Amino acid sequence: MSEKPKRVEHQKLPREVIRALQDVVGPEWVSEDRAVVEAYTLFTIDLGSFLRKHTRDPSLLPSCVVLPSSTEEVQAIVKIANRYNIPFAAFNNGQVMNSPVYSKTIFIHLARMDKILDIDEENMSMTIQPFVDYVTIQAEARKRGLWNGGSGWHSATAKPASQFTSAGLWQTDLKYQGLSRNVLGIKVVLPTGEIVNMGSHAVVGTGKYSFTERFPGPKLMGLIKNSFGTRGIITEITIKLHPWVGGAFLPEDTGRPSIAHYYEEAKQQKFDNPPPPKRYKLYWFEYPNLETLVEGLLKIARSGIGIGLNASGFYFAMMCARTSMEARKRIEQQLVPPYVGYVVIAGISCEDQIKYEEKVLKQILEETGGRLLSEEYKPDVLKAVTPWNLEFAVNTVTGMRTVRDWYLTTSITPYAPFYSAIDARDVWAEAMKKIGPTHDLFSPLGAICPYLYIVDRGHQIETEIDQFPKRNDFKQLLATLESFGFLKSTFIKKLYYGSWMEVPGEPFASSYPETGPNMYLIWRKYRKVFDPKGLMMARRAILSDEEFKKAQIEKPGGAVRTFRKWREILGLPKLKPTPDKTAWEYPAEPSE
Amino acid sequence: MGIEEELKNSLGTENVSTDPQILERYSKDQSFTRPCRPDYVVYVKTVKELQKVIKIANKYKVPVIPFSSGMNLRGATIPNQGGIILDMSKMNRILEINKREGWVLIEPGVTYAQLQDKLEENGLRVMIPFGVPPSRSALSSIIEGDPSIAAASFEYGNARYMDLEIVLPTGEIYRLGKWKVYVDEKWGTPGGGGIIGESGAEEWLWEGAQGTLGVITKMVVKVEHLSDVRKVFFIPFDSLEKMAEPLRRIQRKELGLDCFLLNNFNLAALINDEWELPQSFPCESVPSAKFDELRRKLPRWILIIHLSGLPYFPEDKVAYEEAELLRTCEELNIVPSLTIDGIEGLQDLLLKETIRPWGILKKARFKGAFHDVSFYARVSKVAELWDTVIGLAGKYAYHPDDIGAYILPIERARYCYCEFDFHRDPNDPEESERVKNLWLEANEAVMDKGAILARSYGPLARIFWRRVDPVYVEKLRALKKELDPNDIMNPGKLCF
Amino acid sequence: MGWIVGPFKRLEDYREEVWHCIRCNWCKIGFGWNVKSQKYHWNCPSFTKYRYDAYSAQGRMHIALALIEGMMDWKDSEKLLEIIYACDTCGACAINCMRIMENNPVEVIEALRARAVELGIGPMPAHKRFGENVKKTHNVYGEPHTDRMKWIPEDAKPSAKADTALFLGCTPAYRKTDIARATARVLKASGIEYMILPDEWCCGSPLIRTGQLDLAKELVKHNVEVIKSLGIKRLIFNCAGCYRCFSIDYPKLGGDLDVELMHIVELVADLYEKGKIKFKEVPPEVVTYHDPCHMGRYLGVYDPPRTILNAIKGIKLIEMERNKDQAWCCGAGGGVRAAFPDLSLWTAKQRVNEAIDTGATTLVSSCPFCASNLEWAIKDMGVNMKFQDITQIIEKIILRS
Repeated sequence: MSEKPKRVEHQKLPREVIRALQDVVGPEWVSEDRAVVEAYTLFTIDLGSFLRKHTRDPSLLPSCVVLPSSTEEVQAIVKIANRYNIPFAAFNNGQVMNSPVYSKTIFIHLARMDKILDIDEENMSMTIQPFVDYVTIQAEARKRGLWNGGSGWHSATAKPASQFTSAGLWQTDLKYQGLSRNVLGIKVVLPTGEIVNMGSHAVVGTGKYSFTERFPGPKLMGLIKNSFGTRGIITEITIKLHPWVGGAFLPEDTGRPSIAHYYEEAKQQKFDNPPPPKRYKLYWFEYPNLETLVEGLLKIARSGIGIGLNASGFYFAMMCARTSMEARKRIEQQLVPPYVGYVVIAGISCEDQIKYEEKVLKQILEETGGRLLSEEYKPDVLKAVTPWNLEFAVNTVTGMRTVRDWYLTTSITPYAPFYSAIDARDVWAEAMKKIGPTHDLFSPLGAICPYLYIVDRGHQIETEIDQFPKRNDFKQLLATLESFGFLKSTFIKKLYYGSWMEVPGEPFASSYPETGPNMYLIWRKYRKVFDPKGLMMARRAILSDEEFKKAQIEKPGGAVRTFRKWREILGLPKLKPTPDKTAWEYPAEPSE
Repeated sequence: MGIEEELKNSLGTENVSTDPQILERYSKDQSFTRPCRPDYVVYVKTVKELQKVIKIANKYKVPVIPFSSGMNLRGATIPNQGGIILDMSKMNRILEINKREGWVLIEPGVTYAQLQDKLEENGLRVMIPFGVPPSRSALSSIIEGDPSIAAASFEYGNARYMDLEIVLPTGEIYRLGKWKVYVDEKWGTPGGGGIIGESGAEEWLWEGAQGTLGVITKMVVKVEHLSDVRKVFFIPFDSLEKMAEPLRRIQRKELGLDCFLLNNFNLAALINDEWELPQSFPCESVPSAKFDELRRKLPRWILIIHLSGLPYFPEDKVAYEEAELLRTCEELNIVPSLTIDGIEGLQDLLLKETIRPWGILKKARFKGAFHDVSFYARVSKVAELWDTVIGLAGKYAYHPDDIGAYILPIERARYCYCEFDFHRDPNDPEESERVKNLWLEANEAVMDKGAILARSYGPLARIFWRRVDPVYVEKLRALKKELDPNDIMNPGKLCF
Repeated sequence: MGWIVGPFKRLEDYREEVWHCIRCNWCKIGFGWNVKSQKYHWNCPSFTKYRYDAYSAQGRMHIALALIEGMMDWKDSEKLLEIIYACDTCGACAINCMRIMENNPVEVIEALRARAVELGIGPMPAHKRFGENVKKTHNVYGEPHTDRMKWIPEDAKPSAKADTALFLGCTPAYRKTDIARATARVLKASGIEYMILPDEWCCGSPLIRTGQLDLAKELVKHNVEVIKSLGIKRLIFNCAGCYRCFSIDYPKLGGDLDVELMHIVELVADLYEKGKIKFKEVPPEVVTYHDPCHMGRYLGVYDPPRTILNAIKGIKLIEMERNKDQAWCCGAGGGVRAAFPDLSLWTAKQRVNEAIDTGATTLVSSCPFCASNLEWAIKDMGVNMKFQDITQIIEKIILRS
């Protein structure tokens, strides 16, 4: 007799809790239905959720989903959670790390809060509710000769309100520096149920929304950034806008695909050929190797030209290909050579700005051994990367195609000096040997040329290297976890704060006390202040004393054990717990 | 062993002072902050020494007031409750200059003058706020949030630091940024991981904290190319209302790097060569007929736009920006020129001042001391706020022509930073009292009209913090309690 | 992920696809390059209305995953049937998903429906009813089969035999007979000799969309036999749904036909471009065109109706923000109109508002099912907007060159 696969049991909440929730939002906006909650259990790049899906971990399944329509309703729900001591989590797109860690979690899905509350052209800002995405922001801002300066990885469907708590990397970080530099203020429902404004509108009488993020005192907004949904629910966010000179609407593509004929149309390249917006031009260039590419990128970045500067040919081969097969072919044939990058030049001041910046670019390429792609030199490559004419702005639409091939961003060396790109490549080459690729073609790419984001006028660089594990393959997911362990331990050993998407959260935080050092102990203090009961996405960002005891000492889970193992292999100091087992006796008092 | 003995044992006797004269010097500055004598002044040269002081202070529960240069001029380093002045002026090393990636690593005692001089040797500049003394600590100025003169440029004039090293109120070293890893007695290298993109922004907690949550002992500061092709344009206006639209149009085209407005008073002070830059504040006032003449002659408002080349083909860069600026101004019926009223040497003066913008401090010579109402406000509000301040001046028998003004557009005129100065003779108690009351009321008045003060300590703490969302204040206090359980770090400075 | 080819797959065959769904969320909003405003940036009617993720393609994919992997059972949910059927199968999710992920979530949704029917849980009662109608009278409306050709106009009668046949479909035959007549007149005026199938049965699309594949197979078998027996070389459609069904679904159900398939708009546009017909001038009018999902997004027929409308002097065509592959559904398809009339009407009203915002006074389309739903919305809203099927415009002004 064959064994029936194990069902995942749904844990329901007491009736009075459900009734209380229904009293707040109305019965149609609370659901405990098994199918409804199932739709909230898999997230874009949350490795933990995939692993726990395979092991049928019931804690992955929320008890119920509630859809509030206002800040006040969110507050009321949070207060109910506090009253009954029920863990809860806020949810928008579910693209980063949203999987809850406790059973009987209330999922607060903000999908009904989709309004643009205010567009302030003088202040160049837009105040939005959580379920407003980058596509919307840009569409509305463009009509006013403005835009927000980029759109978030993962994808223009991302919502700044939630992305602020998790990430915010843009293709145009060269100039615009990503989401954290582009928020003027937020309104937050704290895990305690209190509502607080952060930004200038924390000061009564300065206006309904923040007009500046500057504040003459400690900025609490800094602790909401990258809090991974553990320190509050953003219900309003005011984002900065910048001058946009590309016109009210983006230019039309040469054609539109259809479902039935997609593959023929793709073969004939009937779509994905948009021109760039007026006054924006992309220049593609190539270098002979990673070292010269990095030097060239640094020089271009520090020269002050451009609004966006990024590299790796492989990724563009993937992202600009209409089909997986086309991507594979392009990579195998190295149609888009690995050491290819682009700079977006914008004529924000005038057309002559483009002429000037082009002149500078050509000079730098000449000096550094780079070569511009053109109608005369590799025109087929230029044709292949045409989607990026719009992708630099409304990113990530076709750029999302990295996930077509099972992508999971494995590691990023953080904003760091430029040599880190070389290190990242070398470390990844080692990872491929020690752990192996999960995708025969795509995984090893980082060992040739990582994806490079040039940030903040060349003051910093971010490098990305990725495993491509099939999410329905448990072994590949475990291999990816091994990659995390190897990479994190390697980077720490090399004295990099390298990790996955700058995630400071668990299980990294408590497994690597070298960070900070003892950053995890400071983060516990933040948690005590914001979420004294430990109800909001508990254990996601940081472990409390008791949670540490369990998760790190008494019953470490798979991820913790994996990191511990790699620490040992790579010769990081052995971790010794304090007598009460709530921390590590480490490190020795650092001196400067 | 008492506290004094422990301090002396840790730092050496010569580095611990209880000399009343020395204590007196640290007890006040030119601001209206209530003077208060510290109990000790200690001089530290290393982080290790600094940590020892913090640990001793915790043991005895004695307040610690971080002091980098004392050139804040607004009372930031005046104790509230006595305690230990932690003088870090000897921690003045420029530890590293990375020209390639555009950053420097500095200690708290490094002054703007020291830093800019060193950077200039390397063809670089640090973005300095207008009107800070040359001996001001660059690190303190940046972490306090003094807006740089280049703030009009989104990417060059704002968010000027990256990595930080902090000594927490409990004495441990804590780092933020790429270098926050400590393994086998080695630290990571600096140069990345600031307020960018996907990074966390934990460091914002220490911005404007005035040392209440720990002492910043190292900072990576972004620096930029210093071009030798630069040009300054002057555009006169007779009212702030008329200035708003041209400012917006020019800034939306992202023309120019530094940009700011001065009123006739301030520009006259800057130009006036009968005045010398004070070395300390308050200073000796110097009557000047030339100043009076200048400010009578000069236009009411002058918009100053600094075009600067980039590392490659700087002439081309300046040329296209200039052409576009002229074209835009023509559409607006305004005329930018390379000087004002034919004043000679003005171009050179401003070229110098945009890099080392402290000449304006000569304004202190007007009466000896000055007090700015400094705040951030929407562009459309600036004229109204100016009128408010003028109106209040009348109430306190303060001549409106004696108010200096500096208006700085931030991020392409998204909003503005304003500094409106009142002047007084510090030796005249009646005038001092009057100006103090005017200054206090002016600060309240601008807040009433929707501005947000740029500073919140000293006498402003009472005005500012009661207007802040009480939940915000409560969370700050809770964080303070967690990070500084003995409440030793600059107590009473902010809302705690 | 190969699709379109081969027979209908079973739910388990989509195991890889459902794990592949990475929650990029492009199934919920329009393709980023084409979005022009917040108001019209949504693309999925059921998600836009209900806002639970379960009502999006992503949600349904992940629910399918749980069912396939045995993590949940069909009996565990009270809402499951509603969730899988409250989708008009418009493909707005699919076109984005294809372009980014090479997935087609609509196939998965239809596989869920087929499984529901197999298990006896589905379809929805309203769908069961039209299934029974089709069984009895060979049309979804339950009308007498003998009345199927009652619409035929005296002035545009079909020939007894011709190489070209007009496949009517149930809606033009029984409900939108004006469109049927207009189509006939257009063919006549173009000089095209056409016949109609003597025993035309429902194309099967409503059954296929709702998971009733066994029933559909019978219809397919019958229609194919009839067509083959008549030696027809070309089939013309005026219903986008029927056209899609023959083009995409028939080969999957063993209904391979060696016959040219085209919609009336393609025929007319082709004739126009070859100079064989022209159009009379009309009084000035601003119109906007609604792309029927099955013909537009599914089959890529975007240009022909536009060629026609742009060729008519007097007509000014203004596009809605969501057009061509990004068109917002009329709300009728996928069995939604029958089982979820509220959702259907709400969806149609969104589209009518979008039409009104163009400044047009006439909304044009080329599918009688779209016509039905959009006219319903216009009437319910009481707005100043006329609806015309494109054949109704053409019939009045077409001239042979």
